[in-house]
Amino acid sequence: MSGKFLKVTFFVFLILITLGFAAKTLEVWIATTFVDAQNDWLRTKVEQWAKEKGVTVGISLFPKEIYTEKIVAAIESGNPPDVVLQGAAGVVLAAEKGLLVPLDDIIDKLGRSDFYEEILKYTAITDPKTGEKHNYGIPMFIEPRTVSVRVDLLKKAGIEIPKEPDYNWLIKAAKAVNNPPKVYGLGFPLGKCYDAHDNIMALIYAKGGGLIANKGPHGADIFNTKPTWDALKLIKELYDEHVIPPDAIQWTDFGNNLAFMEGRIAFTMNGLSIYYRMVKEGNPIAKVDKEIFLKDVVIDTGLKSAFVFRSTPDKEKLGKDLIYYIFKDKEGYRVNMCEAAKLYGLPIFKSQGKIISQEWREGKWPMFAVDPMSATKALKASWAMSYPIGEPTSVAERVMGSLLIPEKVIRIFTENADPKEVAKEIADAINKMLAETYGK
Amino acid sequence: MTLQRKFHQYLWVLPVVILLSFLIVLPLFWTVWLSFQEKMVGGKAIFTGIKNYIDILKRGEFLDGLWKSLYFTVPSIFFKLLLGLAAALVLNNPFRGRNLIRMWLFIPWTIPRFAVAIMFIWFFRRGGGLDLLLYQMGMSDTPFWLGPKMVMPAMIFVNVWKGFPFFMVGILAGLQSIPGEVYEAAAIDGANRVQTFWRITLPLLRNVIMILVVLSTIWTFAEFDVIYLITQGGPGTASETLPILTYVTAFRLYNMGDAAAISVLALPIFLVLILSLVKLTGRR
Repeated sequence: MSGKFLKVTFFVFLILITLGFAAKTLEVWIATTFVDAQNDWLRTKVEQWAKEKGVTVGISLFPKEIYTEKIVAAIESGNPPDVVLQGAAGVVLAAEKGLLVPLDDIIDKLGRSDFYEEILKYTAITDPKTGEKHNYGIPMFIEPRTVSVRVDLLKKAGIEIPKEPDYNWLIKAAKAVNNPPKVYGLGFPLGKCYDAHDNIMALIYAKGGGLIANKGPHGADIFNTKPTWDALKLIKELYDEHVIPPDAIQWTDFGNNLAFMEGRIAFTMNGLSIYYRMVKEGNPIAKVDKEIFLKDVVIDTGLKSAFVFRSTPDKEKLGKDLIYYIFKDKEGYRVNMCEAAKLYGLPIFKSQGKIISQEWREGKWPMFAVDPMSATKALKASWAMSYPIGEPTSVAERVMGSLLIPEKVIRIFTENADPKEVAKEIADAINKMLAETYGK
Repeated sequence: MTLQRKFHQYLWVLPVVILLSFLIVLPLFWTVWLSFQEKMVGGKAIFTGIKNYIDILKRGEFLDGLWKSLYFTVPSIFFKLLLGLAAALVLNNPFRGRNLIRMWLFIPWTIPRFAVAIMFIWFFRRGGGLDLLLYQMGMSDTPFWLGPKMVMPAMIFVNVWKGFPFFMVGILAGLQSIPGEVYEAAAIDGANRVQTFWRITLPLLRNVIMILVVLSTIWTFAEFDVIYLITQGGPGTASETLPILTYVTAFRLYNMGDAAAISVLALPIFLVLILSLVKLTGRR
């Protein structure tokens, strides 16, 4: 009997010890990007911080492909991590449900005036209880959509890149260099992918349109207006004229990258991942590639943020301290999160942005035809912050995540559907989401 | 059997019953309960009766997804069975290099699913493996394999390629369990090869084939990762089968109530298949 008693006592002790450790461990999730240097630096910083503070941390790294499911499941099951780094989805959803800790004090500590103003809007979310806006996350970097331009083809066509290129210039230039089926002018993704969402929205914004104007049940009526119809008609014209490659309707996010890297398209709007990959693989097209921002609109695709979930006061404090620790090393941040990624991510701090601009002037970033930090002047929307509402909403996140827009827009190309009809269908679907989320 | 002995028997299986209840029965009941609620991720559940079901059926997305799932499943199973049977019949005969070919044909089944998806993205893309192959054969005007018209046949092709070795191995095992004497007796009675196949081989393989078909139908109907990785359910909704529709509704639209209702509506199909499997495997 005493043997049995000892066994039971031992197991109870073991369970208590495990629970005790689990309670003290700070769970940190890092949603990885395709840039190893960024992931490695973040991991090292977390480990350094844990060592300095004597805190036990559990670090989990998830590729972005499975991160969304992980974070949604964690929120739904009520078992989220303590801290998320580089998390793209979830910040708005969790904040709107009152699950996140405001980070305003950390932003103040880091120097609020040193942040680019637009960037802080990305995570300024209305508290569901008080109605006040707080920053529930800190964006890890600016991830602007650039247009990759083949300067060799432009030169052949006798076209120069103006100081402030816009959509009119881009389309004119795309038509001038168009030589199908060898080279198509504009690699505009039209398949069911995030690139298609961003490209379509960027053009609609540039035409003066919008996605969500307010949180009311008619907030998306703005989408079903002339700028959207004009933008969709223009894409259709370019598709019919074969300025856009016919197979663009079957592209996934990889499609336009690959077409550009293989020399099948002259221009495409994407993140800087194309350039990063070409340099890494020694692709000769990297030498004739220039990255530009269209002056009309720049979409930030990232919203990859750092945020802290509500738990115990101790853990919340630790989580905030970890985030402060990571960002307070602003130079290390610039070097490892931005420069090591070949500026695929631009710094969120003005002080570091100035250094990047200076480096560009000195010729360090030859792939940029314009000052890379000029992107901050035209930042209009992010994946979760649609225009003109200027506030992140989980509805915008759902619209982007479900790929509603490319899913519906494809009918214009495959079934010859009327752009107005498609725009109405999309606006109605978003209005329904707004009503579901924010009430009628 | 004494009552005490009977009680002991139940006691021994109790832990398994409890474990299975937690793993299978509870989530099932929870899903059914959820399907009657308006429930967004992280939000409170509000009872709405059969509203989710009405909405889903009204929007037509369930029936559309069901049709795509059936369109994907039925031909996939047919071709996997056909190819698997043909390969097994060939490999059942002794010839030089048989083991090597058997191993080679089994490779698709062993390749991880994400690798299969990446491989076929390259195969089906414009100017990819398939286009090059057809170009070599003198065909230059090829369709968009991942476009709205061809995407489902393309996904069926991938599923058949990946899944036929399962049929091949299962049928081969079945063939090898048929006693040689049966064939000898048929030969003495003057049966030719075709008659032997239809009258002896196929009837004796019936149970094996049925089990393979039911198992594979369950897996194929629930196929998610390969299709999603290649097409995300697109273009448009051209390859949005029921599992993809459920996933998008839950994890991208954050609508747990609707996702649960879609799952519950699909449940009878799986129940029929599972009951068939139980019946088949229970045969003596």
